[in-house]
Amino acid sequence: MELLTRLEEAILISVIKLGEDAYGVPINREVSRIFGKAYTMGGLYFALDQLVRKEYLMKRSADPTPKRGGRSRAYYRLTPEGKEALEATRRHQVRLWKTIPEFKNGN
Amino acid sequence: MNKDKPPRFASWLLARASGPAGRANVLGDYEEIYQDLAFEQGLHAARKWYWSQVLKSLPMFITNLLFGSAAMFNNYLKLAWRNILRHKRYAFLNITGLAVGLAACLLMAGYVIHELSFESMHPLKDRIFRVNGRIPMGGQIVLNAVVAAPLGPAVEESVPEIEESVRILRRHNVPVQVENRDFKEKKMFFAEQEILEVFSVPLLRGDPRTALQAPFTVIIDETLAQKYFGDTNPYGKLIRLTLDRTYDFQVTGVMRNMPSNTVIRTPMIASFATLLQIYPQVARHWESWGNITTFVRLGKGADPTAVDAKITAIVRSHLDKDEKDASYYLQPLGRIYIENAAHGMNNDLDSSGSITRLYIFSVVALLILVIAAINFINLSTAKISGRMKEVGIRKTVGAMRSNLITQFLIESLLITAIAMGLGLVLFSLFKPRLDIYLGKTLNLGVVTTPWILPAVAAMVLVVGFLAGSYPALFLSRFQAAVIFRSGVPRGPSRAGLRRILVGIQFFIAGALIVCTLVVLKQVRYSETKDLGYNRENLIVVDNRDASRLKNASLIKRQILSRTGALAAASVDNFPSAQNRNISTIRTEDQAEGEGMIVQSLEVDADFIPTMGLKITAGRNFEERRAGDREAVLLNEIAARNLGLENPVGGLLYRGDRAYRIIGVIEDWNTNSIHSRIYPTVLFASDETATDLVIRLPQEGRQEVISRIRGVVAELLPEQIFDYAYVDDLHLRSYDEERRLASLLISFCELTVFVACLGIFGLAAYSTEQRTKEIGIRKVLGSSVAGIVILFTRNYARWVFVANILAWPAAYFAVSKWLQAFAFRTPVGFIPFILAGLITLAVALLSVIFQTMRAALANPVQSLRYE
Repeated sequence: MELLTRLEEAILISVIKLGEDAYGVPINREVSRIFGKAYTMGGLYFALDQLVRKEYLMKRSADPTPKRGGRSRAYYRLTPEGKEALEATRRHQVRLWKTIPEFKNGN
Repeated sequence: MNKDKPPRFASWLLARASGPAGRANVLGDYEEIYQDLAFEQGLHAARKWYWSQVLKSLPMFITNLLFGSAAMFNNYLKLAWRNILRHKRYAFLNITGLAVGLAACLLMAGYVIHELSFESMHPLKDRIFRVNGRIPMGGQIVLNAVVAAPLGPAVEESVPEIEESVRILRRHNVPVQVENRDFKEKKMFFAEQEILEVFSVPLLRGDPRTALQAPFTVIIDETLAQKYFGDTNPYGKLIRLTLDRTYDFQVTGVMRNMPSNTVIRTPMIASFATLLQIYPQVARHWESWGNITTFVRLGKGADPTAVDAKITAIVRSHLDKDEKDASYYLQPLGRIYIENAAHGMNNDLDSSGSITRLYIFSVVALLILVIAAINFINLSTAKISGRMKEVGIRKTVGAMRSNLITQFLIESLLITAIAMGLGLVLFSLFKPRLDIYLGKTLNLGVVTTPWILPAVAAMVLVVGFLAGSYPALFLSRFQAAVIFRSGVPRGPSRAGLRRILVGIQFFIAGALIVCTLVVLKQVRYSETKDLGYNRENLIVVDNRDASRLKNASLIKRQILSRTGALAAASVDNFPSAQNRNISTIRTEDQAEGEGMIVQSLEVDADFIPTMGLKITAGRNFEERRAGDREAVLLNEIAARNLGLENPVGGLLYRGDRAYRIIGVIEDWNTNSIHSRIYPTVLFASDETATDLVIRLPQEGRQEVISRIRGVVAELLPEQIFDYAYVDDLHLRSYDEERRLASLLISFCELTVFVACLGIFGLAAYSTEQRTKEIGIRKVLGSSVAGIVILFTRNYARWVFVANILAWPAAYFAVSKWLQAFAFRTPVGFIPFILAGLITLAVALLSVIFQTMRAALANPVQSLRYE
């Protein structure tokens, strides 16, 4: 299985965290918080599309709201494959770190 | 305007870029944040944020849009490739035209960059200058790149801005003997030690601080080291150079080969101390003209213009009064090569480049590329309607507009990329030919020159996008239903655009042909113009040894009596190319220090008859006539400029010596016809004249020359027999123009070829489109000729109009170019007519070929299915 990139990992985690509220704006806020810097929206969409294409995320459109200039939101939800990918990435991380004795105990 | 809305243009951009699929969602997200920001931090901050977000995101969106995934991209490539194969003829015309245009453009760009890069390898080049003289002569200022020998050390000592000075003397065609093998070196320098430091000449062997210190030391470059000594170490070995006499030099260093883009390029540098030892008087002799190239390096931040006056003052304090009108200035090293041809610099280090030539080349190269690009655009747009159905079907089965745009762009990029690859191959093939034309080897290679590949990549993108964008945007716009219902929808006068583009192509081609014809005309004119003397069968023989032995006339008499030469005369420094001798003279009425600088020639009594000059008043020199040593002849311009109505019998002064004017000669061109005829004074030569001019008989010239060689060998065993036909020397002055002409001819062929490819493709396309019309016309009784005329009339009209418009442009260009000549051929109307006929003929040939085929076809075939 292909490993996730740092950004993809952050996005998937944000989507889990946000639960029902996972659409563009809050996802961006979460990701920005994770990386500690403002993340460009455009960069995010590319990654989101990529994740949808890989079927790690599901995308669904909701009703338009007036605040958004009458435009609909796209909500995202993690798929089982996405969850699997996220876990695989984490397992890989742990295994990788364990190869160095000093970090063996998860420091 | 609604104030809570995000900036309209920015959201429009965003909408375009984010693609139809994600549009609502993306725009919505952006607007939501925008609203929050506007509420919290105010409208201004929100707008700023919106714009910066949109701009930062654009590249990302566009890549996302174009290459949504690798699989899709592969699919696009495959489709593009299939389309190229399906339209083989168009692809072929497109690719050939572009490749040729690109190759020509790259070659020229390489050349122009080489010329502009002159001196770029010297780290301190901005502080290095050459001291040039400005010498008034016959009412005009003559620039001189050499100065008197003592100038260098004198200014270095007393001008505080000058850190370092380097003196250089050039020698050409120096015979070299190494271990009993004979060579002849085209060029060498005598230069001071400082040349190594100031110009950072890297030495592979030898000590750069002392290599050129002692007399009779020499450093050679790698090539000469290999040529003279093979693989053995040349350091400390002896080589024998023949200057006036033969001397042994010790090799004290080997330098790296100098690059082709520096004016101080030379394979061999001997120490300046040598000159001072052989000619001790040189170091003391001040004069306005001089023969030493002098470079100076200024201190950091010094102002070169302030130095000019100081140098001039120093020289004037050492000169006689009558030479005081000369002034001196510093020319930046980086500008020497480029500027000098335009300024008419005398005694330059090297043949100089010319900014005019660079302009001509860059413009022509660009024009060829434009023509090729126009072809590409024309052929792609012509193809459009043929592909309407394809677009319709694609749309029906669900292609989105962005898919179609991507596909057309990729197709166009692919064709361009193929063409560029082919162009690089052509470039490599023709590079050696360019070297031959230019007479020098450029360091240019597809891989070795770092800018070529990025430049080509950039060109692929620009040309590919430009040419592909029109069909991509135009075609993808229509709805499938419209296409199928009404056939080909009308675009915004596509045929009109194509005609204009074809017109531009033939405008360029026509103008280029006119220019080429005029350049050729001027070259012919230069070669055949009557210079005022008869230069047929006239040779100049190097007689330097005789001048050293002070018996110039003895050898002349021997040659006249024993070889069958018709006439012979001694002359000191026979003038040719840019080489002339200068003196200051004044009349009786003028005070000391007024005077006028004239071209001076020291000749004997035989000079005028040998050359075939005409005396218009007075008499020639007479040998052994008392007082003729102090006699002079003038040319008519000199007499006029001096204000002498009856010059014969008057007195002229050179320094404090008086000369009696005994005659006036009709004006003649001593040098090339680039310059006008200078006022010239003939002085009587003594036994030290360095050259012999000899008139050979028409028949058996070779035997006469070999007999002359025999006489020279007998009387002057050390003299190396060196001669040249005056006619050849004269023709050599126009090498530059001949080179330009031959390059222009190649370019004309290229432009006409590429333009023809274009018009050929268009004609092929339009006849194909109108096959049915032709069939119907034939059925209704039209003749083949009638159809051909109908179809070609339009093209003929456009080519004709393009030519008429090209005429004034071409006239302007050639008049500018002709200004480099003092004597120029009238432009005349023949080049214009000829250019018109050529372009018209070629264009019609490519069109008629197509229409003939269509017109001759049996109408049954084209109409069968209706």
